[in-house]
Amino acid sequence: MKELLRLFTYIKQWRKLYILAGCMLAFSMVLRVIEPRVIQIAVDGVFALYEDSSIEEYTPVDGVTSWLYGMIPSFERSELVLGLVYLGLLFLGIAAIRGALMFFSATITASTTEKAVKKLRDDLFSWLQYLPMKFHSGMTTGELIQRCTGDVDTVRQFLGTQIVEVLRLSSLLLGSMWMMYTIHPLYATISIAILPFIGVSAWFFFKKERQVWDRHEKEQDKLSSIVQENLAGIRVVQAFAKEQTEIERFEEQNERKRTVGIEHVNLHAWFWPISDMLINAQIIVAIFAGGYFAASGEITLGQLLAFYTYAVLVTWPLRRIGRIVTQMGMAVVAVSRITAILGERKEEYGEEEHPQMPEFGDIEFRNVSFRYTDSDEHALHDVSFTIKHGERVAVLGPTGAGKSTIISLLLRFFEPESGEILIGGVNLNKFPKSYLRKQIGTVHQNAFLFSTTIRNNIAYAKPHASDREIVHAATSAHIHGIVDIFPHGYETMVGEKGVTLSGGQKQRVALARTLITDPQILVLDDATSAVDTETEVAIQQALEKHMDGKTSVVVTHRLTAVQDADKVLVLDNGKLVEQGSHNELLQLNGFYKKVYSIQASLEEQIRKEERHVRDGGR
Amino acid sequence: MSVMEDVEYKDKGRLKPFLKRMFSYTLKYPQWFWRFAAFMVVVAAVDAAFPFIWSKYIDLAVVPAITGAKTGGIESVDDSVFWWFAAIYVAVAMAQIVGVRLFIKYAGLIEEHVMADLRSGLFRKLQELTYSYYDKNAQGWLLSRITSDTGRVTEVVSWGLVEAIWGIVNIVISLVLLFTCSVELGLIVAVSLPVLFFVSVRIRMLILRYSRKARKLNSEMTANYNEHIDGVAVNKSTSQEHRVISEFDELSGQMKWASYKASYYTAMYMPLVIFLGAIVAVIVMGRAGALEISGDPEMTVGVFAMAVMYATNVFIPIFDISVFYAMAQGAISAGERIFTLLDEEPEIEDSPDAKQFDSIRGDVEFENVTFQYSAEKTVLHDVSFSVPAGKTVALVGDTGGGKSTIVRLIGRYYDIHSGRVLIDGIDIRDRTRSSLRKQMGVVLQTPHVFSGTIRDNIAYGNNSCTEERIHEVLRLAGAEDMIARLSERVGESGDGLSSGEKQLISIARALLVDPRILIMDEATSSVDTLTEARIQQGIANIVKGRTAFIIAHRLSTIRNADIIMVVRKGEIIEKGTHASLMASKGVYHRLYTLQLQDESTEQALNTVGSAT
Repeated sequence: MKELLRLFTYIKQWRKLYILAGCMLAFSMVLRVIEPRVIQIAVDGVFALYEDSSIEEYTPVDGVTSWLYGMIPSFERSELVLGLVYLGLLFLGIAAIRGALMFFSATITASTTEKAVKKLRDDLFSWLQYLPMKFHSGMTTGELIQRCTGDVDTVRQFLGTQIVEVLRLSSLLLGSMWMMYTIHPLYATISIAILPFIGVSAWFFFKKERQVWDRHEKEQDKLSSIVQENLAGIRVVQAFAKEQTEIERFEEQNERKRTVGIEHVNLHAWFWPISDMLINAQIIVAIFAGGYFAASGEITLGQLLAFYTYAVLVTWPLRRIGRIVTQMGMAVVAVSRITAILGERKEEYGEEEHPQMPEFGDIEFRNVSFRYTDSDEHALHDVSFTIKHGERVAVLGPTGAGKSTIISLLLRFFEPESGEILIGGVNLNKFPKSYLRKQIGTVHQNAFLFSTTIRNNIAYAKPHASDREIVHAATSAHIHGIVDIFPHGYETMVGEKGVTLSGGQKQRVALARTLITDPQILVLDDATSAVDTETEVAIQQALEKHMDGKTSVVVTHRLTAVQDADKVLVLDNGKLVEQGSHNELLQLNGFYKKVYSIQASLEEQIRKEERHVRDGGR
Repeated sequence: MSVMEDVEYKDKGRLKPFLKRMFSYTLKYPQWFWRFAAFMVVVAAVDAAFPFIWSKYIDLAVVPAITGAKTGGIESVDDSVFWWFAAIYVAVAMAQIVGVRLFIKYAGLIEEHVMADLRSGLFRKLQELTYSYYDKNAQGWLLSRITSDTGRVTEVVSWGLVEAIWGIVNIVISLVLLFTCSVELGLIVAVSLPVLFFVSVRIRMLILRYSRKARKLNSEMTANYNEHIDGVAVNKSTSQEHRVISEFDELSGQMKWASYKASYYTAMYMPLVIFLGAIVAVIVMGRAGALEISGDPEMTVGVFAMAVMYATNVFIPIFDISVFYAMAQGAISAGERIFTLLDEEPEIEDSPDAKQFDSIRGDVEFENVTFQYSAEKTVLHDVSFSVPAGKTVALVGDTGGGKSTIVRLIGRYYDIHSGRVLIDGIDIRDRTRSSLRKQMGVVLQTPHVFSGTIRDNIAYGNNSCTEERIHEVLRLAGAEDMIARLSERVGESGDGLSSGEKQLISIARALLVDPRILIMDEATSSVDTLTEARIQQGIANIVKGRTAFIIAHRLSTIRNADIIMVVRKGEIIEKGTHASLMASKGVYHRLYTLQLQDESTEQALNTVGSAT
């Protein structure tokens, strides 16, 4: 219930509209139950005047009818047809107002709900964009999508349909009962005597039904995952010629789903007739009790006809409400899953406090240590170094040494546990994050491309880039030359709806996407690992031109990329073990030297082999 | 706005074939279908009869009783006619209850069976379709054919049919009963029907149009969420959060608009038809009153009440029929997608007189093979080579050069356009595919693990194999440590296993059947360094005694192969042993040298460094 309260707080700004729509709906239901009374007047009037020639004018028998009767000029023997026309107009008037109220109530509810749901969707989307990376690393995409789509839809149903339906049905129920009581309290009591049983049986049925339905959904999900798994592994299936086994596995689950499905329908095939039986019993009792009361003169014939309408009206809200209330339980879960996202704190961008952008300059790490949340070991331990403005720096080290962590800290995806990072002497946290990230262009190893055209991917961070800029960036990333092999050149769609790019091609597009923004600092996090060696060399040459005078940081495990760097940072196990230029490091006779010697000896080996081959191979 | 108007909803020409084909599925269960239809008619007839019985009750029991009571007191009223009516009511109610019980049962049986049949047909078809089909169609797209589309179309011929039959029978019987009492009132109600029907269908179609639009936008929105959750790191590092949020805002704005429109027309529907019903009711009321006053003997209070009831409720069956119509219209596209898939011809089929391959030796020969995926682009040009049984072939060259295509042609996953692929000198098109593939082992770049135990996964090719055999292949694949974990369950996508472990499982799985031809297509490119090293070490044992085709980057693997083929732009440009290719100083020499520098650094780093 706390969740629902939270939901109502969320939609507070629309509260008045919802209340207005609710009142209109309730009022339209009141008009609905008044309609039969108009017919009652018509019947009673005609019947009385027709049967009994001593009566000259219709006399109302109860409060509601006299109120209604007061609205028409006359209903007399002398002008019977005119009286009927009046009554007809009254009936039409009521129906028209009722229709208008229903229509406006429903459109107000719909437009308000759609607005509220749009806000919910937008908020979720923007939260997901602004939540820190820490949040994303703990959640699967599928789960987040389920919350943004399925759960939002559940909330939408709750606000736009279920609450409305409960209000509508209960006002119809109460209205009908009220009308019955104004006609004849004892008769009314008899006519609703069985109602509680219908309500209770519906309640129990829909609880049970939910259980079976949940089981049905589970079997259905299993079936889907069998198909999904089969499609994902279809190449393996066909390679092993196991199609028949797969079909058997599928058929088994297909039948299991079918069995539960039939069980579910059977539950309905018992509930509805039983419920109908109770309703029929109720109506039959009402019909014959009515016959008695009419014969004994306690109610008029017109009242009997009206009563019949009410007896029918009053029966069906109860079994519907049972279903809706059980469905509404789902909304509570959905809201709690949504608020789990919206309750998280967004990443602080620091946009407001720093209207002045500090100048970019040297990058300095001062005794920086860092640990990921779920880990006891330091990913970086007391790391200090300086990168001068305009330098080309290579970061080298074995897998897991902390190379990528340095970049994450530089982009402020995470904050250091201790120590400081400075750019141009200013602490990093004095920079607005968006400014910082715009100045530092990063390319990651796992190049993620959006499913749009190659052109849009390259121009991602600069949507209005000119063709010239795009070609320039693409040329530097060495992708321009191969774009024409795709069916529509730069306009080729990539991803599910288009062509699948190889890992190296993706990396090159990602590189172009970063280059187009002309960053002050370029960071390549193993960004050309899937590019073949020849192309990589070409990219390096192009980059040199492109990044002239700007800082670049390259994380790599290729020595060729390291040798030309102004400075090499050697990381091992979270510590900065050596730094300096290629030549300086060789003189240190440490880690770098060892790596270099092993590399050299391996290369020596190939030369030996070549000589061996040249010498005749034997 | 204009874009929205373009979405037309004229599906008239498509509705009939769709329903016809759907009914052919329903009529596979004639005993259920006819019973369902019969009980449906009973229920609709009973529902239509209630106002009629009510009117007779008023005229024959209540009115005489009232008049009788007025003259002789309540005791003088003859109550036997009440008992008669009570009996009639109970009998009719019983018929209704039984009818409801059984029509739900049979509709449910039909729904579940037709759905299961459709799904089964689709699944079987998917097993037959070849690589080229899967290259063109995304998995998620195919999945929703089986899961959601089947549900939508079967609903039409089960619950949709409930609405349609009930609506039609109810209207017909109501009219007949009304006509028997008063032709004039019957005519008034009958005339109102086409108007109501026209308005209903019109609005229903508008609702359908916008809900289709909303559904389409909804899947666009889902895709948008998906993409920007996966790409959040890119958005953050390029500072594009703001832009993508405003793009989403536009999309969700369109969604808001479309679903509001759908709700708007839904909101309009009920008041409109109820008001139209009220007009009919008022005309009936006025006319009936006038008739009664004029002393028409047929016009009684009961008939009056009945006519008003039919008039005020006539929109209900119309509503039901229009629901069916809209449901059917809404399902046409789903139906067409399903039937297109069912009618899809597999590109490769075993020729009718294809024989089984007996035990093959493993000689593989390509004879002037040319192959293209699509008409514009040829992937392999006139490729010829021959590999004697037992040899190991390494294929090297750039991505997209045709290496994977060559190995896929060996298992006949695609059909070539000219030339021949021969195994043991026999054209593979003269033998069944399954008899060939059962003697081949394939390890793909991305390992696939089925849900089940690790043992199930390894025994995939032959689940009756012995435990010893499983241990043997695990040792051969260099995964002894997995012997202890055989009964471990692996999840839907193999959660709990690293991709390296998954790949070891797929290697063991491929070896289990002791394949004569083994294909490893970039088998180590998606695994961690450690696993890669383990696989490298065992590769000599793995390939021993069979023909092997290996696509790999690792030098050790390539160097030790008996034959190395350099594939570039669909042609084999160099072929020979490592020594001979190095000596000729061609493309292979350059590739090898560059790759060596790369590998050596990595190796050196990991040798020297303490973290791995």
